[in-house]
Amino acid sequence: MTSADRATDVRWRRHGDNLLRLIAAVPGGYAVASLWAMALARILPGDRVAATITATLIAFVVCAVAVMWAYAARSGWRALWTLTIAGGIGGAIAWASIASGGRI
Amino acid sequence: MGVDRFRGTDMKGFRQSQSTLHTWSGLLLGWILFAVFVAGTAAYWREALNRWTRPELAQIEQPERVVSGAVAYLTKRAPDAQSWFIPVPTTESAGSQVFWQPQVEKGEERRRGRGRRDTQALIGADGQAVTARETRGGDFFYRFHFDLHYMPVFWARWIVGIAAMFMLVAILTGIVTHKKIFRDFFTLRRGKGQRSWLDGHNASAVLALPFHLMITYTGLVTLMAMLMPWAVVANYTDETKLFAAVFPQAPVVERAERVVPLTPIAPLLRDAERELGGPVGYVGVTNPNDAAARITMTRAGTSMLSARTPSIAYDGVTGREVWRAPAPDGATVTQGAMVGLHAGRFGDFGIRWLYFLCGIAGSIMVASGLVLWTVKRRERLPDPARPPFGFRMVERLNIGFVAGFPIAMTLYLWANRLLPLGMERRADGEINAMFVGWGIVFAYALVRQPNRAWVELLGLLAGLLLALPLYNLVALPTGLVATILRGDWVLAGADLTLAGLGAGFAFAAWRVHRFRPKARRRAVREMPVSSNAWAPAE
Amino acid sequence: MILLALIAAVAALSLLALATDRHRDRLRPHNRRWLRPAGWAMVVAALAAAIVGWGPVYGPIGGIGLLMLAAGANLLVLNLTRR
Repeated sequence: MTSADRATDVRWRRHGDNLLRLIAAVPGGYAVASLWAMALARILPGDRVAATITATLIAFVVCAVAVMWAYAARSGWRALWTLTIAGGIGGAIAWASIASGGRI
Repeated sequence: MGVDRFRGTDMKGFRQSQSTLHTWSGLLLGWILFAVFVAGTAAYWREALNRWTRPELAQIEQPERVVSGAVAYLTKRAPDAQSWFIPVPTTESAGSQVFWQPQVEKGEERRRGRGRRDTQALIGADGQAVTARETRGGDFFYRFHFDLHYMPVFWARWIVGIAAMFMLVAILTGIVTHKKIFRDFFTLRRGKGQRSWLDGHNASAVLALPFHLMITYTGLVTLMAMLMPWAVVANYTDETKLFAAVFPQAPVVERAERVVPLTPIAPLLRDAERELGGPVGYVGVTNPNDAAARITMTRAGTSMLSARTPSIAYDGVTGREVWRAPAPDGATVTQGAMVGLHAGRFGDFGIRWLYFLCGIAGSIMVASGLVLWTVKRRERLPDPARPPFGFRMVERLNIGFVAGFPIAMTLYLWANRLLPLGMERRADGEINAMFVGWGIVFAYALVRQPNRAWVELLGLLAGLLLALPLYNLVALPTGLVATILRGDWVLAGADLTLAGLGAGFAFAAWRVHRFRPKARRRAVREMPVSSNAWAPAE
Repeated sequence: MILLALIAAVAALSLLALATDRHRDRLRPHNRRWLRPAGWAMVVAALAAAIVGWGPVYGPIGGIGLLMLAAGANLLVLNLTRR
């Protein structure tokens, strides 16, 4: 491999890393925030109206923090899989709570 | 990897990553954010501009007279409407913009769309419907900052909502990027190129940082039903149940089809003010002049922090109280307070000025950030005579928006003055004039050499702004001398503010004109890989 | 009370500004380690005075507003009177 090939390789890897971070941040951040909005709406104490509103208010902060994390993470892949797990946990909590009924 | 967790490299790498994120989340939607910020800042003077754009109107002295006049007008004009809506004006308002919903004939679909011209009227200080020039006044700037224009509101609000989230990220990353936020804030170096722009950007951002954080987050909150509906989806199969709890309404009554005159409104206004704990802002009448008439009074948004103001409903024939809105729960009040904080209607004159100044600081923050991007990169251009396309585009967009959008807003005010009074669809004409003018200015910014374009357009803006109060002085009875002598500080203040802004832009144009970039002292050398122009001073 | 809040706010931001590297030359040489905690204490005092003067709802809003105004005043005065 020549040094020119290596330079190109590095550039493509950086583009790939940036793309992964972008995916983690924008659709990923919104997804994590939405899934946790659902989870919090189900599990927060208090009446339904209060939990729904509070969950939504918190979700905006979650979204911003997720976007920041996507760029702070050590690599694009790390950003993507950590946020996927974070969203997955929120989604699982929401799904389990909805499936067991009680509010809807 | 053996990286030291919280010291040294990792913290620096974190700050660097957040600094890059800050640049891009600020830049990509910065132009839209600038327009939203400027229009929103102007919207704090919405009522004042409503009056300023209708110089034919007399100042309101007795709001109650306007309300009784409104009821008399509606009784004559739409006696058998389904419902009437009467906003209660203040002494600063232009008037009461009443509207009504006509009866729906059997088989005819209900006409949709708010603000249809033939079912609304403006009631003035003397209780009569006024014949002022047709205009959307200050309400247009208010609407524009979240509904934009020429597009369905759904798209506009999503665009503005996404821009607001980008802005929130930009603010948070902007904070995190500093190692010594106080030193950076209190530093203002002049004549140092990129560093001076950075200082200006830091100053305008940190100075009003509580405001910027609040306004951005609460802006998202006002759009939350649309942007983040998932909590509602998780908890409700029927979202109307949530809305009924958050926006309680008096139960609907069927029309009785028996004509009975409406009870006088004035005593109910006083009773409602006592019961609600504050002045009434809104009167709604359902089934007027019917045995089943209902009068709902809602407390004014200007009299409390939360935008979820309480209501009380009276029987329309006997004047007896029949319903009262239940007390909202803590979360509803919190959300209402956030909306109230964003709108800033709760404030008196002093608070209104504080919001306005903070809004200007925010507009300067966005504008200086956009310019900083080009200044920083110009100093590092390998070939200054042929900058890359991205750089040139950002440079032109900056001029087109930062100079162009305020010019557009000023053209709207000029169109308000100059368009023929009897013109068909005059209100739309003013708005179209604004955008056509903006388009021309934008095209100019695209072709003209940037340094000259900045000076010329800022100068044009200054001229347009300064000329407005002059025009008022010579051509209208509401010129500065007359309004000051009358003690009409709303109109006088508007003219003085326009003049002040004009002077400010004239100063800016002069400074740009006088600016001579220091000769590049170093030949372009290889920039060190770790160089971070975002690092704080020194 | 509001006047007290305003004075406290201006004092607070002055102390915080004078604690920074850029403006420390404004004061005679001394141990400046107390400047920043004193500044923060004045911030609390300003907010407290604002809450007393304007009530629990509008107090924090007005207090933060006064602090922003004080920050602006200090920024301009300290930087434009240099040299």
